[in-house]
Amino acid sequence: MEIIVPIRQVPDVALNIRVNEGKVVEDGVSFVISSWDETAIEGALQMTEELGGEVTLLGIGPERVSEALRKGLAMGAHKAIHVLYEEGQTDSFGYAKIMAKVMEGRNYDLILTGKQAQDTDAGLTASMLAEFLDLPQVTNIIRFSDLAVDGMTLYRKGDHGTEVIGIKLPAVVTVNDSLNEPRLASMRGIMMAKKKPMETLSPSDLGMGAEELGLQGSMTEVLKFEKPESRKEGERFEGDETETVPMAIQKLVSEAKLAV
Amino acid sequence: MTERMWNNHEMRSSYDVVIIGGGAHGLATAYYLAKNHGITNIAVIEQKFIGYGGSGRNTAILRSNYRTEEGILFYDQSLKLYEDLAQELDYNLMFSQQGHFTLGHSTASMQALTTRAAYNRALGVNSTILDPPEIKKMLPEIDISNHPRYPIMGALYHPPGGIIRHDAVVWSYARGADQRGVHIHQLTEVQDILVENGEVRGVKTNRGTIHCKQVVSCVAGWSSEICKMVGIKLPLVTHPLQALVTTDYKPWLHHVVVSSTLHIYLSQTDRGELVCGNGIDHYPHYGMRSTLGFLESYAAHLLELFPILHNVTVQRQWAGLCDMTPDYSPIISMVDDVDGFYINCGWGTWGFKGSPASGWNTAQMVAERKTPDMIAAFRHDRYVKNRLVGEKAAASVGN
Amino acid sequence: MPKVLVVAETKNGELKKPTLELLSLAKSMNLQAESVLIGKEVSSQADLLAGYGSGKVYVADDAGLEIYNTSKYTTLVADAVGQSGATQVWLTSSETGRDLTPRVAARMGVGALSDVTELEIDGDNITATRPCMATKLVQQCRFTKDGLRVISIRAGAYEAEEASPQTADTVSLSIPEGDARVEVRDIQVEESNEIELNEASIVVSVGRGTGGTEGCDFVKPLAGEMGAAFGASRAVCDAGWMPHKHQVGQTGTVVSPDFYFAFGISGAIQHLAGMSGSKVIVAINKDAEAPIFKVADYGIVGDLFKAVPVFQEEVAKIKN
Repeated sequence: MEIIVPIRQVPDVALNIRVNEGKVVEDGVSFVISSWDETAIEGALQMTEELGGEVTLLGIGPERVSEALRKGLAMGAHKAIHVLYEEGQTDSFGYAKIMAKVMEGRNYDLILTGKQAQDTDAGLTASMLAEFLDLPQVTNIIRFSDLAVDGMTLYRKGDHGTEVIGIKLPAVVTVNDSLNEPRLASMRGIMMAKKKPMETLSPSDLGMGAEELGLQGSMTEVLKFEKPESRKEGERFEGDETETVPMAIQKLVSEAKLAV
Repeated sequence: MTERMWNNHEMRSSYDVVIIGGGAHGLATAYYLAKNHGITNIAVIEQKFIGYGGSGRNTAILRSNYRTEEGILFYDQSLKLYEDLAQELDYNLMFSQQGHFTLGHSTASMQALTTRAAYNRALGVNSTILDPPEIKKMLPEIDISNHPRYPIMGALYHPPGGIIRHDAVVWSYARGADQRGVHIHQLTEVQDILVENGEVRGVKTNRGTIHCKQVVSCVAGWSSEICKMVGIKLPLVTHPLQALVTTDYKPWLHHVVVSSTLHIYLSQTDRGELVCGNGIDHYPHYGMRSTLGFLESYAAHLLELFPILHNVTVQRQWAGLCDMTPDYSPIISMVDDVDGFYINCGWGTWGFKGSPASGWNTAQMVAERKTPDMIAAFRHDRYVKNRLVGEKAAASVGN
Repeated sequence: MPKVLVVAETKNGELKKPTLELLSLAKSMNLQAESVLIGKEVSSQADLLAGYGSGKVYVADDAGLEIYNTSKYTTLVADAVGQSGATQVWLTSSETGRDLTPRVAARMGVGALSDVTELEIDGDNITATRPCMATKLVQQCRFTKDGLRVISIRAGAYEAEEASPQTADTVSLSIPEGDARVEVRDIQVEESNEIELNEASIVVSVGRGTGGTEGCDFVKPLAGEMGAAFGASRAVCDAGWMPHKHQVGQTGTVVSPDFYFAFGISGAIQHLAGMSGSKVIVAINKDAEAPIFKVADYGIVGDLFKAVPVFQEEVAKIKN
């Protein structure tokens, strides 16, 4: 089974993210693989371990993205494609178009990726890619079974329960992080990653011109980033619960208009 | 209420001594000032949280097998204080004196190690040279063949060296100081040091001004900034140092292993993780980020020493900041032009080992207002007077 | 003149609250709105949509639409867009909305803005505010090209007004075949009368502080008594103390109720990202240093096992 895993390198959201004049400050930020994409890499590795075949990572972005790709290779992915791209402003639509170009003429059974990227939290790119490639999509899966080279059963976390979906490949599938616990890279994996093939492409290698890239190739743009109005800590109640709880509830009813 | 290791206090408007920096050095200084000298009206001012800096980011290796007489005596005192510290502070510091190997991979490095062993023994510090078969006996997993790029030719073995639980050292000093009346103020940033007529008058912080006659700077990373406030220039260059910890494995490595040629040191914790450190990054930088380049080169070198580790997985990477001095020795010093100001800094990659002796002697210097003999060589003006204490030969890894 | 097509969502044949929020929002902005209603035995809901201000209601009512199906739903929404001449499509940011929003947009050859919490509309110019970076930041976005605007809006971001059903002007959509490569076989549902997390105006959530399944069960009756949905932190669900459907957070359900009660939840970033849009947050935790207190409007430092019975007494008093 040939699987392509598009991954996105994002600022580590566990750390402090700074904004200056409406832009995210990149200096001093540590970049990581978006956590849902790590889940996708792990899922792809498990599938190829069962059925054979290779996992190919796809990263789009500046030079630093090659680090994310090498980390994915260290986990065990077989090869990587790096579209070297100084992003400027590109939205999900623009990225999906670039990915669709990368897929042209390639042999794959499955495109597996995270349900959303940890920086934009948008969750749009994979489904758009599926539409552009005219492939079926299943998003937000928490399990897979009946693995075969031409299809599998997927369990999607939907609004009203777990949807059980049989799918014929090729397809685009996105993962929820409860699918698995991504493996850590081993020392050998880290060393071998350096020797694994990494194909570096430019947008022009893909036959894409300026009108298809950046803001021109996008449908939306970000005007500015802001720190949300942070919630301020309110009132504290300390002491015996038989006193603090009635006090708090009284305030909830009188000040915040709690009604039950 | 949950019982706290140390208490929060209202900040007083004046203290006898203000110590800037709530790491192992600052807290040890406060503790020994209170315990040895009965000075307890002390504030320890910490910009973030205690142990946030180097004290919480080092690889917790202790040793005293240095190269110079000054260094050997100082670190020997430190190691001996560490030996009794758990008892004294009534806190399990998990100190494991498991022995410390410094591997030699060339004739030159073997010569340097042999000299160190001789100096150590002359000053009563237990150090000895082992040949490869003797090393193999104690480290059965090590590759002593001639296959690696840098075959092992021998080692300096230092039995009293070992590892300790670094956070516990910070916490127990904090508790010990707190119990004796020292105030620890976290999230407090120093904005200026007030000096009048060459005498310290106080410290301005983001939470108000504190009046005091003695200020000790036990800051790392920002030492130069603090010293600039009183007009002292320091010859420090700050470099990041990266480290990593693996997932846990059954105990197999029973000694600390260092190879300066391969830029590696590692030890196994009681929990089974391997704690691995590197040399400092080659560029000066204040960022505490981890790089893939470090991971890649570390993996390559580690597997040369211990081929069995190929399936070991990396759990976490981190970095700390090292204030490197030109001679690889620290600065613990009074300042002639500013009465009541003391500098304790320049701890490069050797700070955690030195914390108890650093605190002990700094406390004595503050209490007696004169420099103890033990640290006389570590004055800040030795760089202009050309009296360096060259410890580069004893730095763990080729920095 | 902008015209909005609202993609309605139902559960057990009844409209869900976030859909009504969207129609109320359109009304408050004086926008012409129509809606598309898809599902099994859902036609009866058209009148309520009309009552909420929907002009035409495009209905696809078919047994084969009982479980969500990307391909069929996309075709139906695209069909309704075509027939209505809508210039905007609004969806909710439910799991259905998350799946459908980008596919519909791409089908129509346009971009989308998802999970929007604030929408400003001036003719065809739209400025949307949406959280990103695990809600550490918000971004303000807009569409840069002409054409259809596809937007999903977070549940609870806007209020639903009260309205009564009116006779709807319905248009039946033809039922598509669907993609033969995908077979939606089944849905595994745990039967319950519980209120859904993203619909509730009150959420009572439990964390690791409950200590186990028993602790969770100890708090759960309070949710029922308060008319609240019952939520849980990731730690609780991963440990198997509560089923994953209760999980609040970026990986589970993102909620923004009027009142969020956190019992024994310390407040990990992913959890905070999933509930910090709540209007009022009440935290009950033994650890006075727990990060949840930093976002709580009312913080009770105490033992949840002692606090819950007092809560129950007080709630009973209010009810009487």
